[in-house]
Amino acid sequence: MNITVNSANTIAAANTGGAENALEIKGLTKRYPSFCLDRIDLTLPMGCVMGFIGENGAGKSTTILSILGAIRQDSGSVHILGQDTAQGIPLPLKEHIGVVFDECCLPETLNLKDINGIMQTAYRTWNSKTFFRHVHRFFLDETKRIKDYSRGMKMKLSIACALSHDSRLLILDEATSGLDPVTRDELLDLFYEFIQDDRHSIFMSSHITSDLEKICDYVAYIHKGKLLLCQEKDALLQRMGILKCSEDLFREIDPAAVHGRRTTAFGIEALVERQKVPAGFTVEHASLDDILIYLVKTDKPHA
Amino acid sequence: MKALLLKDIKVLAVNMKLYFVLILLYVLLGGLVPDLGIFQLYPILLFSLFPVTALSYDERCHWNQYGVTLPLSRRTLVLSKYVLGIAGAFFIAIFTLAVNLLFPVLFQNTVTDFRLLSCYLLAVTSASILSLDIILPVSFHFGTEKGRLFFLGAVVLLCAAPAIMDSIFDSLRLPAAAIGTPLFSGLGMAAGIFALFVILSTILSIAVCIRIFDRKELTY
Repeated sequence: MNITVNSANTIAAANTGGAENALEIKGLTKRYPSFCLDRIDLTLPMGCVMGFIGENGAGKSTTILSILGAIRQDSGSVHILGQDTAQGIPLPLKEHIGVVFDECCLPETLNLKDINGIMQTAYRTWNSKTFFRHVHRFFLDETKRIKDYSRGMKMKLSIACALSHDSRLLILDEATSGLDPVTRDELLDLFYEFIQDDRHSIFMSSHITSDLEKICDYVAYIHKGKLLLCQEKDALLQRMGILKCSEDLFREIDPAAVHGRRTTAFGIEALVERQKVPAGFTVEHASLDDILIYLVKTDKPHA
Repeated sequence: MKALLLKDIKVLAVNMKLYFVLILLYVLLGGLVPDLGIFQLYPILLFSLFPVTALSYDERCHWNQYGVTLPLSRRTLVLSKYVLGIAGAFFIAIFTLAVNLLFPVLFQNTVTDFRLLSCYLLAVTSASILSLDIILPVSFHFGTEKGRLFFLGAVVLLCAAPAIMDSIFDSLRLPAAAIGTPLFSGLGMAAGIFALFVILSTILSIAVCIRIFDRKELTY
């Protein structure tokens, strides 16, 4: 993985190739009158989990809907499990893609038996035993209608559906948002089990960075339709740090090492690349939240 | 396709129980009381609107966004609504035909003319499908909320249609000897031409609908 830093403080990841990728997006662009998803490039290698982070309205759902063909992209290409989706996702390929949106899109007046019956006729690879195994694991009441489920239960049902056919790539759009920590933890455990098979991959959007820190191999950060960062998470956390010093000392730092800064009452706090900071400076651990906040909410860089 | 039909039927069966009871009541009542025969036409006409109701339930839970992620094409999502409406209208028409052939024999000791009744039902079923041909593209394009205006217009038309058709057919309640006369043949031909016109309009409507839905941005 090579990291390139450009003048706009964008950290881009370039996959060096090799194994087949679960998801490969190149130059994905979608223009609306008031918003533009701008040339998104990202690659999710097979067997990995990528967290797709961004604030509300940053373009996460637009990206996901473009990947899934729910909205038409203006330009760019999307390859899923090695297959080009320019003409729409081929129907056999959809058997291998499990999708969970941030709300349950199943008809609310139906119950689990109905859902199983519908999915069984929709998917050739649907496995009722697996479905009901997940249902029992999540303690979902089979006699209740979906409308009587809590939000957490609805999300669990959506995830049970996504995992009950031959899914190799899970695409999750804010699947854990709005859920309590215990439920989120249960779901993360399930995702962790899913990726034990190295043919399985997960692309999940969220703004709960603590969840992503637990499970993700890669992190992609989108802001105002632009991809600011796409990196291996551990490498990113290792590489980046928070430097706190006076303004005078800060002038000694190479501007190329600084990815964001804030002026506080006590001096300067900056997101820096550890290796480019001269010896003698104390650089603290940066969390994903720190990195994301500094990348966006930053003062003008020093001259 | 089968999955979508199953889903729509299950959703409608849960949400529209009262409608199904009314449909059954109208058909049976019309079969028992000849003066109330007009009631039998409403179920056929109204059933064609069920796909729009199914579509509005889809919109409510964002099913279409999810539907395109299933191993189903957008074309199938559109076609399933037409199949539901057309099959439903024909199913009710055949049920009405059976009731009208059986009940007079069982309860009134008379015989209904099969050919005349078939023409009658064919014309009503065609009118029902024609309304579907207009409402579905509008609903797919603007959504069922905005399409509701068209829906209301169509309901007014559909409510008036049985009365108009009933009066036409009332005047054509001919003695058995009249069957096969130029007037009856003309009626059969009119129903046939109308049905043919509706087949063409359905093909056109499906093509338009598929085009609309293919271009539709399924955001939520």
